[in-house]
Amino acid sequence: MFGFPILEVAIGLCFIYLLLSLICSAVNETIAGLTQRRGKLLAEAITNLVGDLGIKDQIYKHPIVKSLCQPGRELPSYIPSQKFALALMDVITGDGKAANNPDALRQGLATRAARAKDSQGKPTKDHLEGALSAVLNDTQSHLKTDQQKIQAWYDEAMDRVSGWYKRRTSMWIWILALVITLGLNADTVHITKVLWTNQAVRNAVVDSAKARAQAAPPEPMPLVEYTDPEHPEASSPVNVPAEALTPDEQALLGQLLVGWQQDLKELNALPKTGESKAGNTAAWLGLHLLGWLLTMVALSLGAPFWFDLLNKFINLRSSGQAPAKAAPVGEPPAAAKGAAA
Amino acid sequence: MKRCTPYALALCLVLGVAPAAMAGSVTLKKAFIEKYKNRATIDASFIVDHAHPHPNPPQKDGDMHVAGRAQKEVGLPMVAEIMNAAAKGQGTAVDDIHADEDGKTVVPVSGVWRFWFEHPSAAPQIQGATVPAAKNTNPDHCFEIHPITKFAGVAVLNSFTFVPKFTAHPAKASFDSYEKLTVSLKVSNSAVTINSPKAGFNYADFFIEFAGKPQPLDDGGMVVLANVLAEEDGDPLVENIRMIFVGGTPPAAQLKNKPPAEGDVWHVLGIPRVSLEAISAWAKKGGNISNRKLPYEMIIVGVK
Repeated sequence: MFGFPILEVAIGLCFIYLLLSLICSAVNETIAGLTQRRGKLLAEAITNLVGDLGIKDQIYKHPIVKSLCQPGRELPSYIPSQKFALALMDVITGDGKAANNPDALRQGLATRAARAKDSQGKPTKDHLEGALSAVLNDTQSHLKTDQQKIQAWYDEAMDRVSGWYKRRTSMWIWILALVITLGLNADTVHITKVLWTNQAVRNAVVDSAKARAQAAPPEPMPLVEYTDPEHPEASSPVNVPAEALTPDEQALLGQLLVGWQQDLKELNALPKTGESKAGNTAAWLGLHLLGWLLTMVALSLGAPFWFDLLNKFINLRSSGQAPAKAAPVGEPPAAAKGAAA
Repeated sequence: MKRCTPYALALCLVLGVAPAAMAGSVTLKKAFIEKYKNRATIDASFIVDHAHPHPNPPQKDGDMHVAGRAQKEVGLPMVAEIMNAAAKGQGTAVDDIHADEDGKTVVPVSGVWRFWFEHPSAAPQIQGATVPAAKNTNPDHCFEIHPITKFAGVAVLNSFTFVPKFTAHPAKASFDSYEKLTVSLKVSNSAVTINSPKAGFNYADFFIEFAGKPQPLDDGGMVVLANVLAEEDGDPLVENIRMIFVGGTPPAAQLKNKPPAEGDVWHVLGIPRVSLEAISAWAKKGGNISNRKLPYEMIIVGVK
C-alpha cells in the first residue's frame, strides 16, 4: 500500500466524489432522457423562432425532421440547420412547389402576411413573415441563397439555446447534488474521518480507486456516433449513454456512507441533559452541514474533474508508474511512427 | 491540530486543488481522423468572430490570434493564428482578418490543423455539434489552424521562420512536459472521444537528428522521423518523433533543397500537436484506452 495517509485520504475522497458524481450524471441523463429535456427545449426555441405553434408542428411533422426522432420519442433532440431550413421552406411554399424556389417562398410568406389576423380578427403583422423577410432581404450578408440565410438565422438562435440548456443542466446538477448528498447522507467530514482513522477501509478504497483510474474515463467522455460516418466533414453527432458503477464500488460506497439510520442513532446517543445536549446537537448539525456542503460543491464539479484529479494523485504517489512507460513498445503509436520511416 | 488535518485536506480538495485539475474531452469523427492523419494542413470556410487588435509583440510569440468557426470542415470551437504576424509580409493578411471580423463573413482559410489540449473546456466538445460564436479571442478550444498558411487568398507561407526576439520554450522542459501527457480514448463505430489533461509549451526550440527519410504527406507536406536533442551534439531527449513539414514553407523548401541524411542535425522551432496517425491506429485496434502516453508530432515552423 502507499504508506502516505494524507495522500491516501485525498485519493479516497477523489474516488468517492467521482462515484457520487457518476451517480449524479447518470440520474441527470436519465431524467433528461425521460423528460425529453433537450427535445422540449428545442421545440420551445423553434416555436419562439417561428412565432407560430402551427408552423412548428408542421416542421416537426415534416418527414425530413420526423426521421430525426429516436424510436419511441416524439421530439428530436437535435435538428441540423440544413434540415430545419429545408423543412421550413417546404412548409411555407406549400404542396407541389419546390422548397428552394425563391419566388414560391416569397409568395408563401406574402400569403401568410395577408391572412394574418389578431385574436379579434383584425389584420396584424405575421411574426414569421416579418422575421423571414428581414433574413431573406439581408443584402449585407455574404450568404447567397435563401436556404443559407435561414440556416444562419437558425444557427444563431441555436447558439442561445445551447446557453439555455447549459444553464438548466447546471441547475439540475445542483439540485441532484443536493438530493444525492442528503439522500445518501454523503457527509465529507464523516467520509474523511473514516478514511483517516480506518486503514482497512482506506486500503480498500485506494485499491478500488486504482482500478477505476485504469478504466476508461467517465462520462462526459461521451461515446458518440455519427449519422453519416463515411463523410469526413462535421455532421450530426448522436450521444450514446455512459456506464454506471461496478458492484464493488457500490459496496464500498455503502461502507463509507454512514446512512441515516446509523447517524440518527448516534444523535440519540449524545448526552441528553442541559446545555451539553444543545451544544452537542449543534456541533453534530454544524459538522454535518459543513460535510454536506462540501460534498455538494464537489459533486457540482462533475465526474471528469474528479477522475482527472484521482489520476493525478495516483500518478503522483506511484512514482514508478510514469505515464511515458504506459504505452508498450510495438503498440500502434510506434507502428504509426514506423509507417512514416 | 492533528485532528483538523483531514478536514483541512477535504476543504482544500473541494475548494482549492480541484480547479487546477483541468482536462478536456473532444470527440472527433473517424472519417475526419482518417482524412487528416497524413496531412499537414486543412482548408476551411472560416467565420471570424473576434481577433486581437494587433499581433502579439515578438517578445511574447508574435502570433495574431483569431477566434472563429468552421462548422462544415471542423465543427469544433477553434482559433486560427498567423505566426510572425508583426513581420513584414503578413500585414495584408492581418488587415484582411480585421476586415472580415464581423461574425458573418465566410473566408477561405488554410493552415496547419492542430489538435492540442492547450485550452480545454470543462464540457466535452463534440465535432459537428453547433459551434457558438466565440465571445472573445480565446474561447475554450482544442482545435486550431496554427500557423495559417493562407487567409482569404493571401499566402503567409514565409511566416514559418524563427520569431525574432522571441525565446521559445527550451527543448528539455518542453519534451519532458509532452512525454508526461496522457490520453484516454473511447471508440465507437464512427467516432473517437479523446480525453487528455491540459497541455502547454506551444513553441519549442530544439534540435532534430534525422532518423529516417522524408516521406510525402497527402497535401504536399513532408513527414520525417527524427530524434529530439536539446543541444546540437547532445543525447536524444526522445526518439522517433514525426516531424511535419508544411508544403511551400521555408522549412519544407530547405528539406527539399538540402535533403538531410540520417544523423544530420538541424536547429528547429516546432509546435506540438496530437498525432492523429497514432490515434487512428489505436482506434482501428478498437476498444477503449485509458491513461496511455499521448502520441504527438511536431510541426516544424522554423529552421536555422
